Amino acid sequence: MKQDDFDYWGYHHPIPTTQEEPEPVDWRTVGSVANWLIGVIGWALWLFFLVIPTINSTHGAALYPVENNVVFVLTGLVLALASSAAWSASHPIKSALFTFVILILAYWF
Amino acid sequence: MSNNFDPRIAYGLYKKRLIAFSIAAVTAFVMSAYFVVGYLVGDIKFWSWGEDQWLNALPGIGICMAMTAFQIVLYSKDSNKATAGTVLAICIAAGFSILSEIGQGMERDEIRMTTKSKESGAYQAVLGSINGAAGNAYTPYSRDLQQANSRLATCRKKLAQGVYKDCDESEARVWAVKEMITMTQAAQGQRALALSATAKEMERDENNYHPLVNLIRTTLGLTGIIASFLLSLTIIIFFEYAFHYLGRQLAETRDLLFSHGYDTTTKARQTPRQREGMKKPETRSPKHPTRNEGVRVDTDTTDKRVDTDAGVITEEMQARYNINEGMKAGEDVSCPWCETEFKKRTYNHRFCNKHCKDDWHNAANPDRLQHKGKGAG
Repeated sequence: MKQDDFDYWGYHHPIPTTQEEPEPVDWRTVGSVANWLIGVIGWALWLFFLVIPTINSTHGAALYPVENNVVFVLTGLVLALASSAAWSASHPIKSALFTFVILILAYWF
Repeated sequence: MSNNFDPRIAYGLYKKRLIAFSIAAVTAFVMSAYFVVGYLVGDIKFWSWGEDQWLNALPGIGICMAMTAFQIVLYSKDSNKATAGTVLAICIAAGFSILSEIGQGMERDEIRMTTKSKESGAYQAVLGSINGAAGNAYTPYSRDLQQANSRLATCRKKLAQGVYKDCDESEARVWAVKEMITMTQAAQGQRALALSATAKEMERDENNYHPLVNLIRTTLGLTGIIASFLLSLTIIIFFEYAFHYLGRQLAETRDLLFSHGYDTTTKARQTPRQREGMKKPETRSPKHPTRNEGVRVDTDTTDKRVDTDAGVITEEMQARYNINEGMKAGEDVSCPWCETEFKKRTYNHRFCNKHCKDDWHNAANPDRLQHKGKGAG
């Protein structure tokens, strides 16, 4: 069995084959893609609105002490990690919540 | 539990969760220390601290480390065993962390607001007016005073010559001009004071807070400082929730591995060298002192499959046996011999049925089979 055949917890769930026609919209795929997108957005927000402005002192980041900027970059990192963990654990609401907080943090930063 | 569980994937996930949780713990410590140590020492540029500053900083660092360690233990604890005491401890640790971590957010808002206020055009104009008002020695009556003094001098000269009887009019004129000059200077001073008061207010124009802070301020009718506190509090609460969530994820992956017989909490130690001439001691269960356990444990790591025909107890089977021994009645366990799931009925219920139990003890002690006339497994 390939590694892709195992889910988050390490269990294998073989897909049953049926003779029925597939549903027109695979909502599970849509949900998983949306979940993935939320995680990616969180990381992108952290990278482009927290890390890069801190490194380059752009977007007004030079106004504040370096230590203060670093602290909030680390805060965003933890939130992004939590968003990814929630995404991989199939907790879409928590993933979206953490990503939203990263958005607020990036805007406020 | 399914036989398709892959411990390699589960362990890889456990390692990822451990790294994420460790990053969160370091971040929580840095955030708390930034405020606490900064308050005790005055700044956090530790590379420029002297001896006195280090002495002031060490208690703060110790407190932050203790509270962070508290959080690490509590957040990664098995939630099924959470008691009222655990919840209270979490509240205390989280409360300290939240209050100590809010400081840097409010500091950021303060810097933003005061900098924008001082850079505003209106403030700069007021400062210019103050400088002009304070440094200006010129009055519009200087020329009048000169003329009045000149006339007074002329009058006194003629008085001395006997031309004039007195110089009351000239003296009155000089006195009046001086009065007007005094009043003008007083008015200028008042104006400078008023401008200073205006400048002081404009140094902290609360409209220059971040739009999010202004939104809270105007919506709830609060002052800027309270609105800044609420925004920082919200962000920090979500950070603490993320920290706790990562701890829960770590605990779940750890417990999943543990339930499948993989212990990630203890590190196996190498057993000490046995004394020469000593017989290897047999391990006995504290509950059944007459039963031998752990005998004929196969340490061959190349084949971990259950091999009942050969009657060999593998390390994996022994691990399941040890786990079952520690589980409480009513909990789900896995049979050490055949991996069938069952619910433990009593404290010493370890196998799913008596056949597995007999096979186990026959494999552990082949003498039993010889005694019954059967061949060794």
